[in-house]
Amino acid sequence: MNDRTGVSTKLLLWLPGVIAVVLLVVPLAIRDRLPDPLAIHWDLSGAPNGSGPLILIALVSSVAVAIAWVVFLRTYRVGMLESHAGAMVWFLVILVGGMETFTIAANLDRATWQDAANFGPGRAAVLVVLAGVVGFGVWRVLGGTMTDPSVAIGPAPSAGIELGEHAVWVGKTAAAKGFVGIALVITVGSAAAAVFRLSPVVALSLVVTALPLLMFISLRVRVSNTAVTIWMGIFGVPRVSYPLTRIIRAEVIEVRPLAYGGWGYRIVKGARAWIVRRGEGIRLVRPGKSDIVITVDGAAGAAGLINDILMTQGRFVAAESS
Amino acid sequence: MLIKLKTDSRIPLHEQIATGVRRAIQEEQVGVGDRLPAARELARALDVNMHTVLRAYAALRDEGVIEMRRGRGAVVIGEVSRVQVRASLRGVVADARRIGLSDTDILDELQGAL
Repeated sequence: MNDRTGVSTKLLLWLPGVIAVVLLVVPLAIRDRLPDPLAIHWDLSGAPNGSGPLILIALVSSVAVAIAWVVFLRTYRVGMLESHAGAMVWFLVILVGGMETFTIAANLDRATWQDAANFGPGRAAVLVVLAGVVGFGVWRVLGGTMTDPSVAIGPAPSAGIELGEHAVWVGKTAAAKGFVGIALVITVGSAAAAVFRLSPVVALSLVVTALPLLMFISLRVRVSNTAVTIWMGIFGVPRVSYPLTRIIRAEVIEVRPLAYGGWGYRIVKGARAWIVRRGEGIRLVRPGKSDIVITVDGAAGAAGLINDILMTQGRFVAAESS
Repeated sequence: MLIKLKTDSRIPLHEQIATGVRRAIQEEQVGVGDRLPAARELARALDVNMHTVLRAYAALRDEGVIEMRRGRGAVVIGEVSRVQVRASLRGVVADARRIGLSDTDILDELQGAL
């Protein structure tokens, strides 16, 4: 794994696994000194106002960190991950680990959860900031902004369009069914929260989650002789057009979302990516500007037409052979 | 779905568009339930009159390949297999005419194949 095997990188990779175990084992080991249930929620003045069983707290914290860590390791092993996933795992480690530590400390040697110590909003804020700082640090250590990780599959394709022919290519792609399902559940949830006037914070956070999800469950692409245009999501908004005059070549690529740090609109060094699923896509090569990566079904057809149009306009530039 | 037009071809533009859609269905680039681009959008991209596209869509509708829905535009309803058979038959007919068979001869040949 080339230059990533330094001691600090190894620690970043393996420590979350150890922390996941610690988060489970330590509360259980000192359970004689803790009330059960534990105080797990405090009001704004810092007085405890909610409780939960000890084993559940330990399990949830540990499993959350463990899942994130396994995803982190897996993506790292196959060379997909650069800095983004690492930053997210460590953000979670600090946040969840810190929450559990504060919770245990507040409950330690108390008779019942109602007697738990003050855990004001100040500490929660400190945790979030600390987690953010650590996450950013990990992101920097693991390489910061990465370059476009996709490699072109084969030479730039052609669709067989000749001089004097007009052509248009239209295509689309949709996210995996599971993703669409989650998006719909959250959308319905946010609608329900709005209708039944649940807590405004819950309603707002659901809406904020639902909108980007709906935006990224599908996309449509059109290639005409002037531009490549994409429409996002079921509403077709946003709509973005990339003029062919800036493009010198289109390539077919295999897109791995995690390599770009996830789904949606992604910015990596040298490229901007519109990602709604894993799999085939096109890359529009634009010298002097960021390349554009778009996941779309039938990528070879789209790339082929773009290349043919560029060829007839005398602006196609082949990749330098290695 | 790729639709190409040869402006200097003797085949009318609307026929070329219809052929493009049929081929796309045949090659499973589009399937049942998929929406075709709006006539206006396609016309602009291909640099042809919108009525040319509408004429192609009307022909495809009459063949049972697509359905025109108000507000949703043209939606593919033709089953791929059926459209494929139809496309193959068109090819056979074109081949037969090229070697000089009359329509009656072609029908006879088809009858024989049945």
